Amino acid sequence: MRKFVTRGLTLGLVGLLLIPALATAHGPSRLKVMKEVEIDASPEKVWAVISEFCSIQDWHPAIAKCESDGSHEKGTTRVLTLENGESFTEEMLKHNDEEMLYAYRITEPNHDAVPVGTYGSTIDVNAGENGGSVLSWKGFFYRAYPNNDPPPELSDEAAENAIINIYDSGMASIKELAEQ
Amino acid sequence: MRISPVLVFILLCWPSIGQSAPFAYITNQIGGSVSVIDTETGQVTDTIEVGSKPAGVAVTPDNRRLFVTDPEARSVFVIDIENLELIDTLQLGEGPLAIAMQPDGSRFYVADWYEDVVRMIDSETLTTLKTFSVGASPSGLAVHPDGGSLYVSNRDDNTLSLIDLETDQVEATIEVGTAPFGVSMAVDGSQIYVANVQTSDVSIVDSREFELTATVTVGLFPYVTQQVPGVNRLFVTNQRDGTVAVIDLESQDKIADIEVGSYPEGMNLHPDGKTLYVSNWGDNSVSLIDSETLEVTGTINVGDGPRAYGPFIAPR
Repeated sequence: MRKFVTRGLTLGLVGLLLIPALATAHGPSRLKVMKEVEIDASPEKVWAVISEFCSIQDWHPAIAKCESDGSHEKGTTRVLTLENGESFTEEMLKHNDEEMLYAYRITEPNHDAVPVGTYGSTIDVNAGENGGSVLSWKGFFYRAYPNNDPPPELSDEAAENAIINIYDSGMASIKELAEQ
Repeated sequence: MRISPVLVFILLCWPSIGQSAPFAYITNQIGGSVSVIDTETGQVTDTIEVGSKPAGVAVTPDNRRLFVTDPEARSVFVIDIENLELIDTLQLGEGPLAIAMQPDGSRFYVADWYEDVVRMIDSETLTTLKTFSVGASPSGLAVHPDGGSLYVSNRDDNTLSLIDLETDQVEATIEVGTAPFGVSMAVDGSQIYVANVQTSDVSIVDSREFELTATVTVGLFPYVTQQVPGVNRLFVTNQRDGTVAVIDLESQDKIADIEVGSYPEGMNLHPDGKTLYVSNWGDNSVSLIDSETLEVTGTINVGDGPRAYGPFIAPR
């Protein structure tokens, strides 16, 4: 099957087939990263920047490429490729234009791309002060190493730092684009 | 007037006389603490620092001791409830999480998901009395109210084990759904309820025959179940949906989904027989649900990552 960049063939079925592979949330404790940034632009404008599942390739500095069918349906997937060539797949869990939020999860973790195991995330735009917005991005996840005593590169700290970096750099970029 | 010495003894030993309403002890897994909620006022009255990632919780029936498991610290912490002080730490296995009390309080059980065992611990001396080999990644525990049986969900085997506490043998193991986690019992001991995380359903098991009698679909990532006998309903936290599913136990159908906070996990019935307390791991709160009207009647802010996995409400 030939894949198109951003909009291409339906990958929804692939997403469905991947559900049984849902990672076993293992021994370690679940971790949480929650970030918020105020943006001097209307919620509609911020939502327009991020609402497409594959818009991440336009606003996230670490993402080189995103492949998806362009749908917002639950179960649709996107394959993200980083600047270093590593890739992983995420699946849409919920997308709501009215609430201006979407939630998704990693279906196929790739520890060389992002050192997390089971990972779920929500990105959300809310009205802020003076007509502005508050963008929030939160992730709930486990470290990549399922057993006790992880090596440093697969530890809780490594997982948290990776997600914090992804959120911080992504949100700074969204803010810049929306405030233009 | 002659006062019976027996009566005096009873009064002296009765901890709840003249004291306030039940308290809820919420383990904050990320915050490394336990939030103590006075359920009469809905206020957090104390926060006890404990361990690194406290998760499981159980209270002795005399309400003197709180046990908190911490898989990360490989420990069970013992808290004196009267003074809300950490008084002992038991190093235990590789990943102690689920915990359940023997109804008479003499001992408790801890499942270790790395070692695939359940340990029976003496509540006073904290010595391990027995170690049972069970299935892969035991994740949930429930003791029959008659104290004769212990049920264990084996998450990575998709099974439920029955340990006979009179013979101290693993008596039987049956298949349930995929990735079974929380286990609870009907108050009368007639049924066992198992939340199957990956098949998004609940297994209802008859305890006398130890047989699966029904499977009811709920929401995404069901985690903990709680029966409310007064309304003959079963409540189920669905982590991924941020809901509590309501099952009518008569028809064995799901009749409602109640929106709570993000990642609801632990759930207990208040001794009023009516109010459910649900810990929302994702947004650091506890939701109160009226089990009759199915409405959220309150929200209490607690520490970071409230897990509250186990029976966490007790008088004080």
